[in-house]
Amino acid sequence: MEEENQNSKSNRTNCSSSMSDVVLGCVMPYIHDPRDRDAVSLVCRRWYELDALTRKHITIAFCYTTSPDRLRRRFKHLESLKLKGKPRAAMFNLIPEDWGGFVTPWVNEIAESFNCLKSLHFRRMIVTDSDLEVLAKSRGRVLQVFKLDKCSGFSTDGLLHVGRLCRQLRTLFLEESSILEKDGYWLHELALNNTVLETLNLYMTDLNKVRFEDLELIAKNCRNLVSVKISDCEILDLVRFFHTAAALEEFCGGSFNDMPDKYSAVTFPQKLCRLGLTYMGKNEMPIVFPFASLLKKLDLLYALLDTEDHCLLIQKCFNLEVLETRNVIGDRGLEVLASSCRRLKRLRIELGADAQGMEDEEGVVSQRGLIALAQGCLELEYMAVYVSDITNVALEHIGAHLRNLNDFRLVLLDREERITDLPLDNGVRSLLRQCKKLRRFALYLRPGGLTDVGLGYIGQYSINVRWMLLRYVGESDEGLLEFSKGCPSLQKLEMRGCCFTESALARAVMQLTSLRYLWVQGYRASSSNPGRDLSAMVRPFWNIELIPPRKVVVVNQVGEDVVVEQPAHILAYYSLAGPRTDFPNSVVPLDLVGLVAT
Amino acid sequence: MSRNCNLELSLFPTSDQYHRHQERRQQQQKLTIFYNGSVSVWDATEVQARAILMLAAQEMEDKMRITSTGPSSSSSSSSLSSEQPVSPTLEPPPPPAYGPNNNDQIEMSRNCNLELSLFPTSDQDHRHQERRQQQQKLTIFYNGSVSVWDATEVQARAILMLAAQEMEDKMRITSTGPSSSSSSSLSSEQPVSPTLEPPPPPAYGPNNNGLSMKRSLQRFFQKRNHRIQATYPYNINRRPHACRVDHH
Repeated sequence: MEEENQNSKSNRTNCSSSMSDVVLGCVMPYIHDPRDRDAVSLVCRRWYELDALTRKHITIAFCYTTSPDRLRRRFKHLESLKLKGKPRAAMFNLIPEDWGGFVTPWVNEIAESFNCLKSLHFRRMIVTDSDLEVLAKSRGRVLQVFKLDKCSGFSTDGLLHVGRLCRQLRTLFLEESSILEKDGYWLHELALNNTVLETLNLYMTDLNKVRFEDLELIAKNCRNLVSVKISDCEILDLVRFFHTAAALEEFCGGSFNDMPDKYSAVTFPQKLCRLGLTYMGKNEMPIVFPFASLLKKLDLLYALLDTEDHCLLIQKCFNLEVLETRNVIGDRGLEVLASSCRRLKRLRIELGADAQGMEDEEGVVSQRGLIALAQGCLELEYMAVYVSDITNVALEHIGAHLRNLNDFRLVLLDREERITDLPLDNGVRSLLRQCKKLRRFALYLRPGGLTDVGLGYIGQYSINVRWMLLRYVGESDEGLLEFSKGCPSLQKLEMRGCCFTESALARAVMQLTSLRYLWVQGYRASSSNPGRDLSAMVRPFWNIELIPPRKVVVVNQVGEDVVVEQPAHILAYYSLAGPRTDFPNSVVPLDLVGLVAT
Repeated sequence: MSRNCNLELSLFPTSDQYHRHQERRQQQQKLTIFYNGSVSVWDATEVQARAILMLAAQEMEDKMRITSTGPSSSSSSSSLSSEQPVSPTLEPPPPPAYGPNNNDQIEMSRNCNLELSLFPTSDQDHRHQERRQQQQKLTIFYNGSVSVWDATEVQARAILMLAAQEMEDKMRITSTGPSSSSSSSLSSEQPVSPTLEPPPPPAYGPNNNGLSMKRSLQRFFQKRNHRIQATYPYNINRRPHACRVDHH
């Protein structure tokens, strides 16, 4: 009793409101936004504890910023965890495979302490079969969502444990993971043991030994199956699957290996509204026409369509909200998109392999397409485009019309020698000024693409941007320093091909008030003592790592082995866990304290 | 393949016009393809050259069936001929500058820029359209014989790509040919086919600060190539259709 009185007294003195703990305990669970939660936890000790007890989900944006132990001490009752490991550049083969991001210490802690954990998402991390076994045996009974997102290091043997023991799984997500495939038994086990599966994602995993009979069995047993994405599996073998999976709304993957006219017999589930058929060509495309107007999401990244095909198909999809394709869509395709798909919210245009003459030569995207897009698809929130040409006017149009943009990424291809309108200073300023909701921003240009003044504009007008990816921007250190005076919200910065010196980078880091993560590849290292000039950014809790230049053997599009010289990387980040202790040989922690002392 | 065609491929030199002793010893000779002011050169055996010429004829035939028919003719010059409404226009050998006699051509083939640039240098849209329809001479030289077609850019690209794949396949099995290290596209390190990237340097290779391609897309393009190679020789169109059963 006395304690209660004392507590409420201390509450009154510590907090502005005189809310009792009981009331607070009821209100707190309704606060979900992590930034709100962060603010709540800073009010006073009691609020910090309540937050810790009631927080359901944590995203650790970079796994080396903290430790499993610290997570357990604060959030023991966590229900959902997302962990990210390797730098984004790993998706582009720029990071050594063994770089790090091992889930083992986390899995061990989860197995031992996190009794409430129902949802687990590992992204760009290294996972072993033994990790999967430990996880399945300890948490398999309660795990509902399990995502191995662009992970590597495991095989179908590990998945066997998941299939056998994780019987409550609603979501199994393996997209783009590098998995050693020994057989397809794991899916059979999953089919036998699970009746609640809703989402199954094996997209881009090359897991080809899975049997379509097992997919049928899953469709039969799991009446809530809503989303299935698989690897290459002949579409004609899936006819029964499509027939059985009555609730299916999303399907991606498959393969077309037979005569086009055979596919007219394929009927898709009635509710299907998100679709992506691999290797779909002009002759197979008509099977989509009957329900094209129902489509909300269309994935043409791995289809075999030319510009004309795109126009034909897109014209029919007037309810489309999400489109992903390659730049073979061309300006003409974008014009059709702008006039037909007024509800479009997300657009991603990736790089095609036109170097080999495989793509339509009409498949180039330029200012013409972007201007049409800006005028037509006013609801766009996400836009990522590879362009062959660009003008300031195009960017101004985007700024003028697309006020809902929260994520904008522009990559200027190296293909054309002359770009119509560079530098892009004014266009970029216009875009950033007007798209006030922008949180994520990427600009990949070429030398001359953006002057120091333009780089300064980015700093000045990107008020809410939290993540940036920049390549070949600015002309000198001056530009970077001007840039770093702004960007008040910038938390994560990635840069390539910069002309900036180490000392400028270090000074910029110190000026960017919100920065907690920096990745740079391609910069002016100090010739005498590489890394030395980074000493300006040495500070407590700030880890600095280098990946020195290295020669890498890569396979190019024609299938040849090519030796490539990769320049050095700098990775710097705030961490409460001290420097890493699990470096592979390719990564070097920078002992700048030692350097500075000498 | 075309139904009643008479694909005589004569690859024996009519006369001993130029000497390449080294190549003869290894039984490889230069296979040269000209198009639109650019040239690609491979070292090919007779078998490979034959295969490539057949692929080219097939490619031309298929495309021409869709578009208009080209002039069919036969000529005394040893080259591909066909009775279908498709055939290369068989002209007398081009001007001496490109003639097989000319040693300058050999020099040129060694030192010239072996990148076939098939993208218009300006990016005007209407020129894109025009150029697509425009046909230019596609000329293939091998061992003193010449074949000439009227081809659009698209067709030429397709043929080059097929040739590259053909060479790559065969090269993987056989030994390396003589290296042409002076060229920017033929690598002397590995048995490798010429790259078909237009200048400037490859934008898609993960070179210094160059554009890197997302791993998932890279993988897709590799698989797409394999699919095309797998459907050859039954179908050598650019886009992989079904494997058809008719034999040639």
